[in-house]
Amino acid sequence: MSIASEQVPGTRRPARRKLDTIFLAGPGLLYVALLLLVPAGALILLSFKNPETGQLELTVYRDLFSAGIYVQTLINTFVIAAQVTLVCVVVGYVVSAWLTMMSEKRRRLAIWLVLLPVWVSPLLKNFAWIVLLARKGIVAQMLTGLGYEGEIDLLFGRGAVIFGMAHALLPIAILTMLPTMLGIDRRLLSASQTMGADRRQAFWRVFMPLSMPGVTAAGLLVFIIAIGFFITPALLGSPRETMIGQLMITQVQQFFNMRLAGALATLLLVVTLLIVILYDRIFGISSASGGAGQRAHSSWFRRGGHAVLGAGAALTEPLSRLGLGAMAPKAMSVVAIVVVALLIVPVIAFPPMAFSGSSFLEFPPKSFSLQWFERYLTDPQWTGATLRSVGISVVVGLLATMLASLAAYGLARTKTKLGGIAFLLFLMPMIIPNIVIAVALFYIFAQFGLVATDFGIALGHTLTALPIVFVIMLLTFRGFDWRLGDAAATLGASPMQRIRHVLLPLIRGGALSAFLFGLLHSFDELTIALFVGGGVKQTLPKKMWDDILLSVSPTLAAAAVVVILLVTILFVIAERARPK
Amino acid sequence: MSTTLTRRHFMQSTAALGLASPMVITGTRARAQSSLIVGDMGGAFYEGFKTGFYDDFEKDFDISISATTMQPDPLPQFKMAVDTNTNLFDVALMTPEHMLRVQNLDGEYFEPLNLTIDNPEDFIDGNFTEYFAGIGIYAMIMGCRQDSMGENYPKTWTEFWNTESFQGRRGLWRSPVTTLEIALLADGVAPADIYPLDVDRAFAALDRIRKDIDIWWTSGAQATQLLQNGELDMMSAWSTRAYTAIASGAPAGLTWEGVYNIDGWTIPKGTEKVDLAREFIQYTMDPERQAKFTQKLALGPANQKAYDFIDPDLAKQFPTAPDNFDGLILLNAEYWAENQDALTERFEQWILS
Repeated sequence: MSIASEQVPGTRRPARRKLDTIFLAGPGLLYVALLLLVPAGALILLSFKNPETGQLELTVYRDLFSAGIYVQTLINTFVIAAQVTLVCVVVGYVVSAWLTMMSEKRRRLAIWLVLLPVWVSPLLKNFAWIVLLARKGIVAQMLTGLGYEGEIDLLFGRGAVIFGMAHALLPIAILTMLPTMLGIDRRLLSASQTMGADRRQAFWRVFMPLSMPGVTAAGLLVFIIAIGFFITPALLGSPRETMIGQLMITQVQQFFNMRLAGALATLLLVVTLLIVILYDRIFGISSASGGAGQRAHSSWFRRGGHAVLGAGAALTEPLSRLGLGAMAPKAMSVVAIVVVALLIVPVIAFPPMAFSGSSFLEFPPKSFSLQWFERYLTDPQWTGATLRSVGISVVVGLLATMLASLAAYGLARTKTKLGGIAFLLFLMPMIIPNIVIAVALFYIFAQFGLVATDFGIALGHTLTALPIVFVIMLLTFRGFDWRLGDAAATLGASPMQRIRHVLLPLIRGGALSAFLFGLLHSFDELTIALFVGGGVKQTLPKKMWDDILLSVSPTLAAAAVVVILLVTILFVIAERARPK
Repeated sequence: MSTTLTRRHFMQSTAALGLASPMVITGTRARAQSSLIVGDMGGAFYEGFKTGFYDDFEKDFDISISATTMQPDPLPQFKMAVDTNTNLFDVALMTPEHMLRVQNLDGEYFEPLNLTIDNPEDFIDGNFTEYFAGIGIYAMIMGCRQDSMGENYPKTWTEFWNTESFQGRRGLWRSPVTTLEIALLADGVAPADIYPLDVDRAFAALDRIRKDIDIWWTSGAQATQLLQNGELDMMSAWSTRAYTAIASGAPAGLTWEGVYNIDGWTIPKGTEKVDLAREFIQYTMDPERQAKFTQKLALGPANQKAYDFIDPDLAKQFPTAPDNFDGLILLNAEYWAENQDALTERFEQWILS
C-alpha cells in the first residue's frame, strides 16, 4: 500500500537476456508522459502564450498577482496543508506506535479499521460531519447534556476544515509510517536499556530517530494531497479557508478562463515541486520513494533533530518522576483507540440516516423508512451514475493493472540505473496535486473531443490509479522467487509455459489486489470526474457532489450506504489478496 | 479573458476523433423519437413539474418524458452539451442571466421558441424573449427562525443590519449576485434606484455587518439545511429553498423584501426534437397547469391567472402573490452578465481579506 513499505529484498542476480527488462516499463511510461507531462506542459504554455498573437507574455500572471485574491488563497492553501500535515503526523505517529505494540492478529484487524475509511470518499465523510457537528446536532446535544453552556459553534471555520481534512488523510499518514516502525529492531531498544537508558530515553533517543524516514514520507504525502483539496474547505469552511482548488473550479467552470486556471496550476506546481526538492535536501527523498539507500542528512538538520529529541526526553522527565511515565503506553492506547473510533464514525453514521423517514438528513433519525433506498434504486439518474462508475472503474482497474504489471516486472528485474527514474515517473501522478492533473486533462482532452466522454474519465482515472497499482505490483514481483522459473526451465518448460504455469499463478493474488485497488480508486474519484465529465457524464461521486449542492436528500445517504457496502466487500477481498 | 474551448474547435476535433474513440458521443441520440428529455433543477422542481406538466403531457401526447437534473451552475454543462452535440436535454430550465452569459460566448446555443401567446398581459414583465419563456419566479429574501427569534425578528434588510436590536446567528450568500443588492436595500437605497449598482456603497454596507455574519452559505441545498436545522437564526435564502425547509416542519418565517429572478425554458441548439420541445413549452404556459405545480414547488407561477386556481392561504408563500411581489425587484440580467466576473473577483477579495 504505502510507498515507504516496499523494501528491496536483495538485488537479483544477473540474467542472461541481452535486452534489459526495463523496456517493459515503456507503455506505462508513455502513458504517464502523454497524459501527465504533455498536458501539464501544454497548460503551462497556455498560461504564458497570447492566444491571438502567439507570443509569450506574462499578462495573466500580472493580473493574477495584482488581484491579490489568488496569492492570498495560495498562501492559505499552503498554510492549511501544513497545519493538516502537522496534525496527521503527530496523531498518526501515536496511532502507528500503538499499532506496533499489538499482536500480529489484532494489528491486522486494527489496520483494516484504519484502511476502510480511506476508500470511502472524503465527500461522504465530510458530509456526515456537517450533520453530526451541526449547531443542534447530536454532538452539540451531548455537550449540552454534559453540562456545557454557551454557544456551540463547531462547523464552518478553520478548526472544522483541519479536522475534516486530517480525518480524511490520517489513514494515509498512519499507513506510511507503520512499515518503518515495524521494521525497527526491538533489540536496539533493549540494548539501550541495558546500557542505562530508561524507557522514556529509549523511546526518544532510539525509537524516534529510527522511525523518522516514515514520518517524513508521511508528511510529504499528506501535504501534497492536502494541497489539492477543495471538498472539505467548501463544505466545512468559512471564506477564510478558501483553497486554490475552489478558485480553479470557478475559473474553469464558471468563467471558462482556462488561461488563469493554467497560471494557477503552474504556480501550484512550481511551489509543490520546490517543496519536494527542499524536502529532498533536508530529509532525503529516498525515504519517501522507498529506496534502500538513505542519503546523509545535512548536519544542521541532524543537530536540530537531536536537539528536539533531547528536549523531548528532558521535558517528559518530570512526568516520569511523578510516576506518570508508566502511564504513557496506556494514554497512548486511549488516544489511539479514540482516533480509530473517530475514523469509523462517519462511515457507520450513514446507514441510520439512510433509513430515516424524514425528508432531511438527520442523526439520529426519528422514524424508519425504506423510501430513500427505493428512490435511489428507481431514479435513472442515480442508477445511471452508479452503472457508469462501475463500468469506468472496471476499465480503469484492468488498464492500470496491465500497464503497471508490465512496468513492475521490468523494474523488478532491471539492472540499469534507469529503474529509479522510472519509479519516480510512475509515482508522479501522486506527487502532482490532483487538481492540477484534472485541469490539465480537461484542457488537453477538450482539444481531442474527450471531454464529456466516459473514455476520457477512464483515461484520467487510470493515470491517477497508476501509482498505487504500480507499487502493489512491484511488491508482488519483488516477493517472487525467480529461481522457480529457472527450475521450471531446467525441467524443460518453454518461456510461455513458465509464464502460464509458474509466474501467473504466483502473482495472481497481487494482481487481483492491484486491480481492485485501481478499481476502488476510480470508484471514489471526484476531481477528474468533475472536470473531464463536463457535467454531461455523471459518475456516482459527481452525482453525490451535485446532490449535496442541490438537494441534500436522504437518497444521498442511501447511495452512500450502497457505496460503503460495495467498497467494504471489495476492500476485504483486495486486502486478503494483497501480498504481505 | 480567453476561451480556448471554442465550439468550432470541439466540432473539428470530435469529427476527427469519431473513429478513433468509439466511446465518444454514443449519446442518447438512439433513443426512441417518442420521448422528450427535460432538464429541471431536481428535488422539489422535479416533483412539482411532474405533477403540473410531465404526467399530463405524457398522457395527452402519448410520449414519455425523462427528467434530468441541471447542474448548480448550468452554464458549463449546457455549453458542453451543445458543443459536443450530446443530447443531454431537449428542454432546459435556465434564468435570463444564465442565458445572457451563454449568449456572450462564441457560437449559437439556443433554438428560437416560436411561441404564440394570446394573452401576454397575464404574464409578469420580461417573461418572454425569442429564446426564453419564463415559467415561474423565485426570490432572494429573508428567512428567520421563529423558535429562537420569537416575535422580535428583523422585518427589513435595514433591520437585519441592526445587530444590536436583533441578536442571533446570521448568514448571507457567498456571491455578489443579489448580496450587493441586499446590502444597498439595507443601506436605504430605494428599490427603483438599485441599478446600476453603487458597488462601493454596497461594499461599505457589507463592511458594517461582516463580523456578524457567521456563515456565508454557498449552495441552495446548504441554505435549506441551515434554516431547517437551526444552524442560523436569520439569513438570506432563495424563496424556493426556504420554503422546502418550512414545508418539512422547520419553525421559520419569510420576509418578502429582496430580488427576484425568472426560471424559464430554453431549447438547446441542435436538438432533433425541437418541435416536440416547443409543443411542451407551449403546454406549460397554461395557468391551470402552472397552478398545479405549486402543490409541490413554491415557485411563483409566471402566469398570474394561475392564482385563480390556487388556495389563497397557500398563495401567500409564493413570490408572485401580490403582497409579496411588491417588495421585490427584478434581478438585472444584463448588468450581471456584464459585470459578474469582475464583481465576483472583488467580492471574493473582500471576503478573504
